[in-house]
Amino acid sequence: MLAVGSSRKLTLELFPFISLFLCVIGVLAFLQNLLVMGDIGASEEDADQPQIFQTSYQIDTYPDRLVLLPPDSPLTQLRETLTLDEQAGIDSIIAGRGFIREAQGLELDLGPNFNEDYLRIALNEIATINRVSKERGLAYEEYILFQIHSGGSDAYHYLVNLLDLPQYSHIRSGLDIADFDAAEETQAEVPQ
Amino acid sequence: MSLDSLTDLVSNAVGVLILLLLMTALQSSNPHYEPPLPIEHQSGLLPQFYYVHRDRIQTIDVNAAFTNGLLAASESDAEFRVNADFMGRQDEFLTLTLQPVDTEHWPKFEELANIDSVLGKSAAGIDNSTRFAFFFVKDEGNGDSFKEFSKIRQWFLDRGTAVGWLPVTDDNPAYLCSWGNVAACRYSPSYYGQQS
Repeated sequence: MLAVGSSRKLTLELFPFISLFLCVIGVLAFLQNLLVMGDIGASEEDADQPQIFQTSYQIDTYPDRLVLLPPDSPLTQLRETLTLDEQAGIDSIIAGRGFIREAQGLELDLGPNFNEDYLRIALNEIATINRVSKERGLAYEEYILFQIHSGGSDAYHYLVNLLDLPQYSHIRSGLDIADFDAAEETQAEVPQ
Repeated sequence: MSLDSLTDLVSNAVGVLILLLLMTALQSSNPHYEPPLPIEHQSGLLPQFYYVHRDRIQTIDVNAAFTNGLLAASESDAEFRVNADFMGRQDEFLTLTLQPVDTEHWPKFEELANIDSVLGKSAAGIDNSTRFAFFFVKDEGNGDSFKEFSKIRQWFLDRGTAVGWLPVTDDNPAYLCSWGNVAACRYSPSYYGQQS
Protein backbone atom coordinates (compact mmCIF):
# COMPACT_ATOMS: atom_id res chain seq x y z
CA MET A 1 0.00 0.00 0.00
CA LEU A 2 1.00 3.61 -0.34
CA ALA A 3 2.50 4.94 2.81
CA VAL A 4 3.97 8.15 3.98
CA GLY A 5 7.50 7.63 5.21
CA SER A 6 9.43 9.77 7.55
CA SER A 7 11.12 11.44 4.61
CA ARG A 8 7.59 12.07 3.13
CA LYS A 9 8.47 9.85 0.14
CA LEU A 10 5.81 7.57 -1.32
CA THR A 11 6.64 3.88 -1.27
CA LEU A 12 4.75 1.11 -2.95
CA GLU A 13 4.30 -2.50 -1.94
CA LEU A 14 3.72 -4.60 -5.02
CA PHE A 15 1.19 -7.27 -3.94
CA PRO A 16 -1.30 -5.07 -2.07
CA PHE A 17 -1.20 -2.75 -5.01
CA ILE A 18 -1.90 -5.54 -7.52
CA SER A 19 -4.70 -6.74 -5.29
CA LEU A 20 -6.32 -3.33 -5.23
CA PHE A 21 -5.79 -2.93 -8.97
CA LEU A 22 -7.48 -6.25 -9.73
CA CYS A 23 -10.37 -5.33 -7.45
CA VAL A 24 -10.97 -2.11 -9.32
CA ILE A 25 -10.76 -3.85 -12.71
CA GLY A 26 -13.05 -6.60 -11.50
CA VAL A 27 -15.71 -4.18 -10.32
CA LEU A 28 -15.52 -2.26 -13.59
CA ALA A 29 -15.74 -5.45 -15.66
CA PHE A 30 -18.75 -6.56 -13.63
CA LEU A 31 -20.53 -3.25 -14.22
CA GLN A 32 -19.72 -3.43 -17.91
CA ASN A 33 -21.17 -6.93 -18.11
CA LEU A 34 -24.34 -5.79 -16.40
CA LEU A 35 -24.80 -3.01 -18.95
CA VAL A 36 -24.13 -5.31 -21.91
CA MET A 37 -26.61 -7.88 -20.61
CA GLY A 38 -29.21 -5.15 -20.23
CA ASP A 39 -28.75 -4.17 -23.87
CA ILE A 40 -29.07 -7.77 -25.03
CA GLY A 41 -32.29 -8.16 -23.04
CA ALA A 42 -33.76 -5.06 -24.64
CA SER A 43 -32.91 -6.14 -28.16
CA GLU A 44 -34.41 -9.58 -27.54
CA GLU A 45 -37.66 -7.88 -26.53
CA ASP A 46 -37.55 -5.86 -29.76
CA ALA A 47 -36.97 -9.02 -31.75
CA ASP A 48 -40.21 -10.50 -30.41
CA GLN A 49 -42.18 -7.82 -32.25
CA PRO A 50 -42.73 -8.57 -35.93
CA GLN A 51 -40.95 -5.79 -37.80
CA ILE A 52 -42.47 -4.63 -41.07
CA PHE A 53 -40.43 -2.32 -43.19
CA GLN A 54 -42.86 0.42 -44.16
CA THR A 55 -42.11 2.84 -46.95
CA SER A 56 -44.17 5.87 -47.81
CA TYR A 57 -45.48 6.82 -51.23
CA GLN A 58 -45.86 10.54 -50.74
CA ILE A 59 -48.76 12.49 -52.23
CA ASP A 60 -48.79 16.25 -51.70
CA THR A 61 -52.23 17.82 -51.95
CA TYR A 62 -52.57 21.45 -53.05
CA PRO A 63 -55.73 23.43 -53.84
CA ASP A 64 -55.16 23.00 -57.57
CA ARG A 65 -52.88 20.01 -57.97
CA LEU A 66 -51.43 16.79 -56.61
CA VAL A 67 -47.77 15.86 -56.60
CA LEU A 68 -46.88 12.18 -56.49
CA LEU A 69 -43.49 11.15 -55.14
CA PRO A 70 -42.90 7.38 -55.13
CA PRO A 71 -40.46 5.73 -52.73
CA ASP A 72 -36.85 5.23 -53.73
CA SER A 73 -36.87 1.54 -52.95
CA PRO A 74 -34.94 -0.98 -55.10
CA LEU A 75 -37.27 -3.81 -53.98
CA THR A 76 -34.25 -6.13 -54.06
CA GLN A 77 -35.66 -8.74 -51.68
CA LEU A 78 -38.94 -8.79 -53.53
CA ARG A 79 -37.26 -9.27 -56.93
CA GLU A 80 -35.29 -12.24 -55.64
CA THR A 81 -38.49 -14.16 -54.93
CA LEU A 82 -40.00 -13.60 -58.37
CA THR A 83 -39.84 -15.45 -61.67
CA LEU A 84 -38.18 -13.70 -64.61
CA ASP A 85 -41.54 -12.61 -66.05
CA GLU A 86 -42.66 -11.24 -62.73
CA GLN A 87 -39.32 -9.48 -62.29
CA ALA A 88 -39.89 -7.67 -65.57
CA GLY A 89 -43.15 -6.27 -64.20
CA ILE A 90 -41.48 -5.05 -61.03
CA ASP A 91 -38.56 -3.64 -63.03
CA SER A 92 -40.92 -1.54 -65.11
CA ILE A 93 -42.47 -0.15 -61.90
CA ILE A 94 -39.02 0.66 -60.52
CA ALA A 95 -37.98 2.33 -63.78
CA GLY A 96 -41.16 4.42 -63.95
CA ARG A 97 -40.70 5.52 -60.36
CA GLY A 98 -37.10 6.42 -61.10
CA PHE A 99 -38.21 8.80 -63.85
CA ILE A 100 -40.76 10.42 -61.54
CA ARG A 101 -38.21 10.87 -58.77
CA GLU A 102 -35.71 12.40 -61.17
CA ALA A 103 -38.40 14.91 -62.15
CA GLN A 104 -38.97 15.72 -58.43
CA GLY A 105 -42.44 14.20 -58.56
CA LEU A 106 -45.35 13.74 -60.93
CA GLU A 107 -47.60 16.79 -60.92
CA LEU A 108 -51.29 16.25 -61.68
CA ASP A 109 -53.35 19.35 -62.38
CA LEU A 110 -56.76 19.13 -60.72
CA GLY A 111 -58.33 21.39 -63.33
CA PRO A 112 -60.84 20.35 -65.98
CA ASN A 113 -58.22 18.24 -67.77
CA PHE A 114 -57.44 16.18 -64.68
CA ASN A 115 -56.66 12.60 -65.62
CA GLU A 116 -57.31 10.10 -62.85
CA ASP A 117 -55.50 7.35 -64.76
CA TYR A 118 -52.05 8.37 -63.52
CA LEU A 119 -53.32 8.27 -59.99
CA ARG A 120 -54.86 4.85 -60.47
CA ILE A 121 -51.62 3.55 -61.99
CA ALA A 122 -49.76 4.68 -58.87
CA LEU A 123 -52.32 3.07 -56.57
CA ASN A 124 -52.26 -0.15 -58.63
CA GLU A 125 -48.47 -0.27 -58.27
CA ILE A 126 -48.70 0.04 -54.50
CA ALA A 127 -51.48 -2.55 -54.34
CA THR A 128 -49.46 -4.98 -56.51
CA ILE A 129 -46.25 -4.59 -54.54
CA ASN A 130 -48.04 -5.01 -51.21
CA ARG A 131 -49.95 -8.04 -52.47
CA VAL A 132 -46.87 -9.80 -53.85
CA SER A 133 -44.84 -8.97 -50.72
CA LYS A 134 -47.54 -10.48 -48.56
CA GLU A 135 -47.83 -13.59 -50.75
CA ARG A 136 -44.07 -14.15 -50.55
CA GLY A 137 -44.01 -13.58 -46.80
CA LEU A 138 -41.83 -10.47 -47.04
CA ALA A 139 -42.03 -7.89 -44.30
CA TYR A 140 -42.38 -4.97 -46.70
CA GLU A 141 -45.32 -2.63 -47.06
CA GLU A 142 -45.89 0.60 -48.91
CA TYR A 143 -48.34 3.12 -47.53
CA ILE A 144 -49.51 6.51 -48.72
CA LEU A 145 -48.39 9.56 -46.82
CA PHE A 146 -50.58 12.54 -47.63
CA GLN A 147 -48.83 15.84 -47.14
CA ILE A 148 -51.64 18.37 -46.79
CA HIS A 149 -50.83 21.89 -47.92
CA SER A 150 -53.08 24.83 -47.06
CA GLY A 151 -56.17 24.63 -49.21
CA GLY A 152 -55.39 21.03 -50.19
CA SER A 153 -57.94 19.41 -47.90
CA ASP A 154 -60.65 18.92 -50.52
CA ALA A 155 -58.11 17.15 -52.72
CA TYR A 156 -57.27 14.95 -49.73
CA HIS A 157 -60.93 14.00 -49.28
CA TYR A 158 -61.16 13.15 -52.97
CA LEU A 159 -58.16 10.81 -52.61
CA VAL A 160 -59.51 9.18 -49.47
CA ASN A 161 -62.76 8.43 -51.29
CA LEU A 162 -60.72 6.85 -54.08
CA LEU A 163 -58.86 4.71 -51.54
CA ASP A 164 -62.21 3.41 -50.29
CA LEU A 165 -62.58 1.44 -53.54
CA PRO A 166 -62.30 -2.29 -52.80
CA GLN A 167 -59.12 -2.77 -54.85
CA TYR A 168 -57.31 -0.12 -52.79
CA SER A 169 -58.98 -0.47 -49.44
CA HIS A 170 -56.10 -2.50 -47.96
CA ILE A 171 -53.60 0.30 -48.66
CA ARG A 172 -52.83 2.05 -45.44
CA SER A 173 -52.42 5.78 -45.30
CA GLY A 174 -51.42 8.59 -43.03
CA LEU A 175 -51.58 12.35 -43.25
CA ASP A 176 -49.40 15.16 -42.09
CA ILE A 177 -49.17 18.92 -42.38
CA ALA A 178 -46.82 20.02 -45.15
CA ASP A 179 -46.82 23.78 -45.03
CA PHE A 180 -44.20 24.59 -42.44
CA ASP A 181 -41.71 23.08 -40.08
CA ALA A 182 -43.98 21.94 -37.28
CA ALA A 183 -41.04 21.31 -34.97
CA GLU A 184 -40.07 24.97 -35.07
CA GLU A 185 -43.61 26.13 -34.41
CA THR A 186 -44.11 23.92 -31.40
CA GLN A 187 -41.11 25.34 -29.57
CA ALA A 188 -42.92 28.57 -28.73
CA GLU A 189 -45.47 29.32 -26.08
CA VAL A 190 -46.38 25.85 -24.92
CA PRO A 191 -48.44 26.08 -21.72
CA GLN A 192 -47.34 23.68 -18.98
CA MET B 1 10.55 -1.67 -11.10
CA SER B 2 10.23 2.10 -11.20
CA LEU B 3 7.46 3.38 -8.97
CA ASP B 4 6.59 6.35 -11.21
CA SER B 5 6.26 4.35 -14.39
CA LEU B 6 4.18 1.68 -12.66
CA THR B 7 1.86 4.32 -11.21
CA ASP B 8 1.51 5.89 -14.66
CA LEU B 9 0.70 2.53 -16.19
CA VAL B 10 -1.88 1.68 -13.58
CA SER B 11 -3.60 5.05 -13.61
CA ASN B 12 -3.71 5.01 -17.42
CA ALA B 13 -5.27 1.55 -17.50
CA VAL B 14 -7.86 2.44 -14.89
CA GLY B 15 -8.59 5.75 -16.64
CA VAL B 16 -9.23 4.01 -19.96
CA LEU B 17 -11.55 1.52 -18.31
CA ILE B 18 -13.48 4.27 -16.58
CA LEU B 19 -13.83 6.09 -19.88
CA LEU B 20 -15.13 2.92 -21.55
CA LEU B 21 -17.61 2.46 -18.73
CA LEU B 22 -18.84 6.03 -19.01
CA MET B 23 -19.25 5.75 -22.79
CA THR B 24 -21.23 2.54 -22.46
CA ALA B 25 -23.43 4.06 -19.78
CA LEU B 26 -24.08 7.16 -21.87
CA GLN B 27 -24.91 5.08 -24.93
CA SER B 28 -27.43 2.97 -23.05
CA SER B 29 -29.10 6.02 -21.52
CA ASN B 30 -29.67 7.57 -24.98
CA PRO B 31 -31.55 4.89 -26.92
CA HIS B 32 -31.95 5.52 -30.64
CA TYR B 33 -35.32 7.19 -31.18
CA GLU B 34 -37.18 6.99 -34.44
CA PRO B 35 -40.13 9.33 -34.89
CA PRO B 36 -43.37 7.38 -35.36
CA LEU B 37 -44.77 7.12 -38.86
CA PRO B 38 -48.00 9.12 -39.15
CA ILE B 39 -49.98 6.13 -40.39
CA GLU B 40 -53.53 5.77 -39.20
CA HIS B 41 -53.69 2.77 -36.90
CA GLN B 42 -56.64 0.58 -36.06
CA SER B 43 -57.10 1.05 -32.38
CA GLY B 44 -59.35 0.21 -29.48
CA LEU B 45 -58.94 3.77 -28.23
CA LEU B 46 -62.04 5.93 -28.23
CA PRO B 47 -61.86 9.44 -29.66
CA GLN B 48 -62.27 12.62 -27.70
CA PHE B 49 -63.21 15.12 -30.39
CA TYR B 50 -61.96 18.67 -30.81
CA TYR B 51 -62.41 21.28 -33.48
CA VAL B 52 -59.61 23.69 -34.40
CA HIS B 53 -60.54 26.89 -36.19
CA ARG B 54 -57.76 29.45 -36.69
CA ASP B 55 -56.31 30.07 -33.22
CA ARG B 56 -59.34 28.65 -31.41
CA ILE B 57 -60.11 25.17 -30.17
CA GLN B 58 -63.37 23.69 -28.98
CA THR B 59 -64.12 20.33 -27.43
CA ILE B 60 -67.05 18.39 -28.88
CA ASP B 61 -69.39 16.54 -26.56
CA VAL B 62 -70.61 13.70 -28.78
CA ASN B 63 -73.46 12.60 -26.52
CA ALA B 64 -74.77 16.13 -26.29
CA ALA B 65 -74.38 16.54 -30.04
CA PHE B 66 -76.58 13.54 -30.74
CA THR B 67 -79.01 14.11 -27.91
CA ASN B 68 -79.49 17.77 -28.57
CA GLY B 69 -78.12 18.04 -32.09
CA LEU B 70 -81.21 19.26 -33.86
CA LEU B 71 -82.23 21.35 -30.88
CA ALA B 72 -78.77 22.90 -30.67
CA ALA B 73 -78.95 23.79 -34.33
CA SER B 74 -81.81 26.15 -33.60
CA GLU B 75 -80.15 27.80 -30.62
CA SER B 76 -78.51 31.11 -31.29
CA ASP B 77 -75.64 30.52 -28.86
CA ALA B 78 -74.73 27.08 -30.17
CA GLU B 79 -71.04 26.46 -30.83
CA PHE B 80 -71.75 24.46 -33.95
CA ARG B 81 -74.40 24.49 -36.60
CA VAL B 82 -75.50 20.86 -36.73
CA ASN B 83 -77.10 19.09 -39.66
CA ALA B 84 -78.47 15.58 -39.37
CA ASP B 85 -78.55 13.17 -42.28
CA PHE B 86 -78.70 9.47 -42.99
CA MET B 87 -75.89 7.94 -44.99
CA GLY B 88 -76.07 4.69 -46.94
CA ARG B 89 -79.06 2.74 -48.14
CA GLN B 90 -78.79 -0.67 -46.56
CA ASP B 91 -77.02 0.28 -43.37
CA GLU B 92 -78.50 3.60 -42.51
CA PHE B 93 -76.85 5.48 -39.73
CA LEU B 94 -77.34 8.95 -38.45
CA THR B 95 -74.60 11.40 -39.33
CA LEU B 96 -74.20 14.84 -37.91
CA THR B 97 -72.18 17.38 -39.83
CA LEU B 98 -70.75 20.25 -37.87
CA GLN B 99 -69.96 23.79 -38.96
CA PRO B 100 -68.39 26.08 -36.37
CA VAL B 101 -70.29 29.18 -35.26
CA ASP B 102 -68.91 32.32 -33.58
CA THR B 103 -65.45 30.89 -33.05
CA GLU B 104 -64.19 34.22 -31.68
CA HIS B 105 -65.67 33.14 -28.36
CA TRP B 106 -63.99 29.76 -28.36
CA PRO B 107 -61.09 29.10 -26.00
CA LYS B 108 -57.50 29.46 -27.09
CA PHE B 109 -54.68 26.96 -26.96
CA GLU B 110 -53.44 28.28 -23.63
CA GLU B 111 -56.64 27.11 -21.90
CA LEU B 112 -55.69 23.49 -22.45
CA ALA B 113 -53.49 23.75 -19.38
CA ASN B 114 -56.25 25.37 -17.30
CA ILE B 115 -58.09 22.50 -15.65
CA ASP B 116 -60.78 24.87 -14.38
CA SER B 117 -61.91 25.50 -17.96
CA VAL B 118 -64.15 23.16 -19.94
CA LEU B 119 -61.38 22.65 -22.48
CA GLY B 120 -58.74 21.97 -19.82
CA LYS B 121 -61.04 19.54 -18.00
CA SER B 122 -61.67 17.68 -21.21
CA ALA B 123 -57.93 17.39 -21.96
CA ALA B 124 -57.05 16.42 -18.40
CA GLY B 125 -59.82 13.80 -18.41
CA ILE B 126 -58.30 11.80 -21.24
CA ASP B 127 -57.05 8.44 -19.98
CA ASN B 128 -54.28 7.55 -22.42
CA SER B 129 -54.98 3.85 -22.08
CA THR B 130 -58.57 4.16 -23.29
CA ARG B 131 -58.91 7.41 -25.24
CA PHE B 132 -57.12 9.54 -27.78
CA ALA B 133 -57.58 13.07 -29.05
CA PHE B 134 -59.10 13.49 -32.50
CA PHE B 135 -59.11 16.88 -34.20
CA PHE B 136 -61.17 18.33 -36.99
CA VAL B 137 -58.97 21.08 -38.40
CA LYS B 138 -60.63 23.74 -40.53
CA ASP B 139 -58.65 24.43 -43.68
CA GLU B 140 -59.34 27.93 -44.98
CA GLY B 141 -56.35 28.01 -47.28
CA ASN B 142 -54.17 30.27 -45.13
CA GLY B 143 -52.56 27.68 -42.85
CA ASP B 144 -53.71 29.35 -39.61
CA SER B 145 -55.58 26.33 -38.29
CA PHE B 146 -52.81 23.97 -39.36
CA LYS B 147 -50.25 26.01 -37.47
CA GLU B 148 -52.39 25.99 -34.34
CA PHE B 149 -53.11 22.30 -34.65
CA SER B 150 -49.40 21.58 -34.86
CA LYS B 151 -48.87 23.18 -31.46
CA ILE B 152 -51.89 21.43 -29.96
CA ARG B 153 -50.83 18.06 -31.35
CA GLN B 154 -47.41 18.39 -29.74
CA TRP B 155 -48.99 19.41 -26.45
CA PHE B 156 -51.02 16.19 -26.35
CA LEU B 157 -48.16 14.00 -27.59
CA ASP B 158 -45.90 15.34 -24.85
CA ARG B 159 -48.49 14.08 -22.37
CA GLY B 160 -48.53 10.63 -23.92
CA THR B 161 -51.91 11.06 -25.59
CA ALA B 162 -52.35 9.57 -29.06
CA VAL B 163 -53.60 12.00 -31.69
CA GLY B 164 -55.57 11.69 -34.92
CA TRP B 165 -56.86 14.42 -37.18
CA LEU B 166 -58.91 15.22 -40.25
CA PRO B 167 -58.69 18.42 -42.30
CA VAL B 168 -62.18 19.77 -42.97
CA THR B 169 -63.59 22.42 -45.27
CA ASP B 170 -66.99 23.91 -46.07
CA ASP B 171 -67.45 21.22 -48.74
CA ASN B 172 -66.11 18.41 -46.56
CA PRO B 173 -67.28 19.35 -43.07
CA ALA B 174 -66.62 17.59 -39.78
CA TYR B 175 -69.00 14.72 -39.15
CA LEU B 176 -69.97 12.40 -36.34
CA CYS B 177 -71.70 9.08 -36.91
CA SER B 178 -74.09 7.20 -34.71
CA TRP B 179 -72.61 3.85 -35.73
CA GLY B 180 -68.87 3.45 -35.41
CA ASN B 181 -68.57 0.17 -37.29
CA VAL B 182 -68.96 1.81 -40.67
CA ALA B 183 -65.62 2.56 -42.33
CA ALA B 184 -66.52 6.20 -42.92
CA CYS B 185 -67.17 6.62 -39.21
CA ARG B 186 -63.97 5.10 -37.95
CA TYR B 187 -61.62 7.53 -36.32
CA SER B 188 -58.06 6.39 -35.82
CA PRO B 189 -54.99 7.85 -34.16
CA SER B 190 -52.04 8.67 -36.41
CA TYR B 191 -49.51 9.71 -33.81
CA TYR B 192 -48.65 8.18 -30.50
CA GLY B 193 -47.37 10.05 -27.49
CA GLN B 194 -43.86 9.63 -26.24
CA GLN B 195 -44.88 8.69 -22.73
CA SER B 196 -46.63 5.46 -21.88
